[in-house]
Amino acid sequence: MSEYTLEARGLRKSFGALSVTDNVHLRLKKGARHALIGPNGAGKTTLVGLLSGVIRPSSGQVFLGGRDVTRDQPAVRTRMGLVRTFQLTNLFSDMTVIENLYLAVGQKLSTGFDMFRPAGRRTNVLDEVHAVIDRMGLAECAQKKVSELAYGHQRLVEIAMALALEPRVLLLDEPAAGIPTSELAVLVDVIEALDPGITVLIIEHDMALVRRVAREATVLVAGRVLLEGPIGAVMASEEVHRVYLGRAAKRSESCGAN
Amino acid sequence: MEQILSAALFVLLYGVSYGLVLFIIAIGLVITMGLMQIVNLAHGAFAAIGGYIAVSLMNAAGMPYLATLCAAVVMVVLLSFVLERLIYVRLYGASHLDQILMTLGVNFIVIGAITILFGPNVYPVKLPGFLQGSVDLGLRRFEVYRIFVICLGLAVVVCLWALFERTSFGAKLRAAVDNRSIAQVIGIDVDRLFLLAFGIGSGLAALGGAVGAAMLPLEPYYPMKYLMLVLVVVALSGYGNIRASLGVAIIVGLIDTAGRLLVPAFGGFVIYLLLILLTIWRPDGLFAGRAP
Amino acid sequence: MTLAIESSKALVQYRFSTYELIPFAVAIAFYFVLPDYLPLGTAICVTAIFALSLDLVIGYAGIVTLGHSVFFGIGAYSAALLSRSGWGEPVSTVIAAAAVAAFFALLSGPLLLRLRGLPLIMVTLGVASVVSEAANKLSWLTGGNDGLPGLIFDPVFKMFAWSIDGKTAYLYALAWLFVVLIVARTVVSSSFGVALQGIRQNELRMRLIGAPVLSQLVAVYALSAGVAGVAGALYAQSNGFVGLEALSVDQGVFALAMIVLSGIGRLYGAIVGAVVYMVVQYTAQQWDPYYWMLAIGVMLVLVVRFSKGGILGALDALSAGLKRRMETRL
Repeated sequence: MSEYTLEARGLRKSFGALSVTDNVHLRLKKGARHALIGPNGAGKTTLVGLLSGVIRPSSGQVFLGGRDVTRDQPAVRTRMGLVRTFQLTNLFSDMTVIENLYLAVGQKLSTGFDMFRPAGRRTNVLDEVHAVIDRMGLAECAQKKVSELAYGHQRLVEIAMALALEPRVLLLDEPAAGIPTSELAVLVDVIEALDPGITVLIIEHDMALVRRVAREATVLVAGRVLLEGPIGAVMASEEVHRVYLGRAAKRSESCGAN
Repeated sequence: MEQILSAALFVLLYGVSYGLVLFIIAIGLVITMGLMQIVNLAHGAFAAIGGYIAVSLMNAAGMPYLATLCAAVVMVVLLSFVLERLIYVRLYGASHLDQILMTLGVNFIVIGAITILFGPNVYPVKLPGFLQGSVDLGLRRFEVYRIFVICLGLAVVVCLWALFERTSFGAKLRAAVDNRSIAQVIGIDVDRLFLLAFGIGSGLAALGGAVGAAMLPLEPYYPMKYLMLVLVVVALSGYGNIRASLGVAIIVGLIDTAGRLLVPAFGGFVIYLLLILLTIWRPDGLFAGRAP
Repeated sequence: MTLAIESSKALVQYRFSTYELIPFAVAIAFYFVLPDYLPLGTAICVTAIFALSLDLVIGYAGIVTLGHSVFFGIGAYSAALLSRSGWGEPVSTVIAAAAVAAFFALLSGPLLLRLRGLPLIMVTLGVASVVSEAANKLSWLTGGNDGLPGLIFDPVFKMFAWSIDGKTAYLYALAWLFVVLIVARTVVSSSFGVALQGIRQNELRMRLIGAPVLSQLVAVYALSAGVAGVAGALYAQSNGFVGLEALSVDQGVFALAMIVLSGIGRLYGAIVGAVVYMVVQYTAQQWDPYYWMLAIGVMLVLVVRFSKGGILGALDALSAGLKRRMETRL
């Protein structure tokens, strides 16, 4: 049994001559809170795609709990406990929040082939759906169609879907993207309240969120790993400032020091 | 040895002529699907209409053969303009299911109309005098008709090539197929382009149906009968790749002819089975680029 | 203009509403009121079952296939062959025929259901054409152009004998329609049914939830094939004869037209569509059989062009509009 819950070795992905991901190594221990940062177009979302199995690498390997999952389909990896959320809301927009979560919980409780019992009477699934809804504070909009929800609530449903699957490893792809700062608090609380046993990889541009949630960080630039280490050291690094954070970081640094 | 060569030449002649007819019919759909993104299952209907017009003009009005071909093409092009404005304009951007259902509806209308006008049986084609008979080219005799089809097919290919590669219309068409929104931004009137392309495609289908009437017999079910073959040519060539569709059509013609020659009882199935397997293997076309 | 497919209401508590008994009351009344038209009624029941099978697969799972006639034909020929080899019990014949059809779906599903959209349509069309042609060539099995005539079946439940006036046939087919409808309703409102709708709406997300999408699609495909097989077997039993037209590709296309006409993804839509279609066909054939295709084509074009959700969708909109007007009055 490997000591790392999630590991990427030498991941490479190129489209023709364009190398989008170049020799990326990543190692997350159980319970990690790891941020993946980098300028736009650095290949962060591609990396998440490679890790979750939606994109096939040109070379390299992905390990989940020590097992080589490089050849495994996304559904297989999810069943093994690797769950991702989407940067652009990717839910079942014509269905209500309850129905969305029903799908996730139902799959986890293996009701995928249950053709006899009416879905509305499956109390074990529904109970857990309501539990997740309450935990995420979504009780008010539970009966609404996802397409009718405010953007911030949609992001919460995204995360609720992921949590409903009881992940071992959670890949959060820009969870705060597009959320007005006033509504951010709920999201941050949820992420901070995550079970310490879950291994979390979070892609984010919002440095305040990253600072609060992450303990280590990997900096990705042009598909390559620039730097890796404890969050404080990475944020303070001159190189990273130069490449990515720029003047804005210097300002937030002085604020964050309080 | 002579037998094999003779058989090979037979397959070559018959296969290439059949393939060229398929190409002429299918090229219109290649353009329509590649350019207008419309799944037009009624494309075969244009071929059928063209065939029926040409043959009935020859039988009833005694028009000379080449004139009937022209008349058929012109009339179908006009018909296609009308249909485009009436029906197809509603299908841009519609879901695939909608397009399929509506064009299937058009198919049924055409099949019904043909049955009412011409009866349910195969419409007999009598080739004009100068196309009858065969010519001795050494190893075996070849039907003049088949050679005519090949020459006409090659002429169409050359004209299309000239149109696409050497005219500004062709350049605009290729640009619009490649990227419609950018083409619009740089000032290409895409709607008019569509209409013209649709007309050309339908006219070519009519030509194929008319010229190929002695090879692909005219009957009311013509639009459905050859639908799959035409669709597969379009699909395997990658939905809009004109050069590839020529290659695919000829290969289809060769394999079908060879199949029927080598395995008389079940030869007709060979091509269908092969095409089914190929589509399963490469749903995006045989020549799809290594896309992400 | 996209056809509205009814979104999931599966989580609403499943209750058989009394309104659902109305169609069956009508069907029973039909038996007494129009005894001369019982053969037509039987044909409507058979067609409705076939349309239902297609609705399951297209309307709920989103698998657009033009080749469903294959399963109808397999059901029909299986029933016919069973009868000719001496097995006359009707109910078990239907079950066996359905099983054969489902078996072939289980075989072809894993291969075909990797495709979507246009490639799937082409391949299903191709397979149906090939099977139809092959049946013609395999005349030692299928009777070729002449078909398999003279099929005789034992009385249903050893009590109700088949009669010329078609009374037994009608009630028998109606009973099967009832059974199939219950099965379909159960499946559609189960967790499996919700998962199918999830697949139809966002397949990628279902995979990322860990759902075994291909297996689930194969399961509904097999179920739907079985139902189509039931329709085919009933066709054989009520006609006493099976010919190549049972495998004709047209049927699948017409069934698609039926469910589109009345509204996809609403099981009762399949029944309404079948009734409308068969009645129009019956009347059209009185004038001239060839006007038939023309009429269907025009109907299809008009429905796709103008209506959202077919006949039932229009009725829905109508009742919603009436309700609104009543509410503003009060």
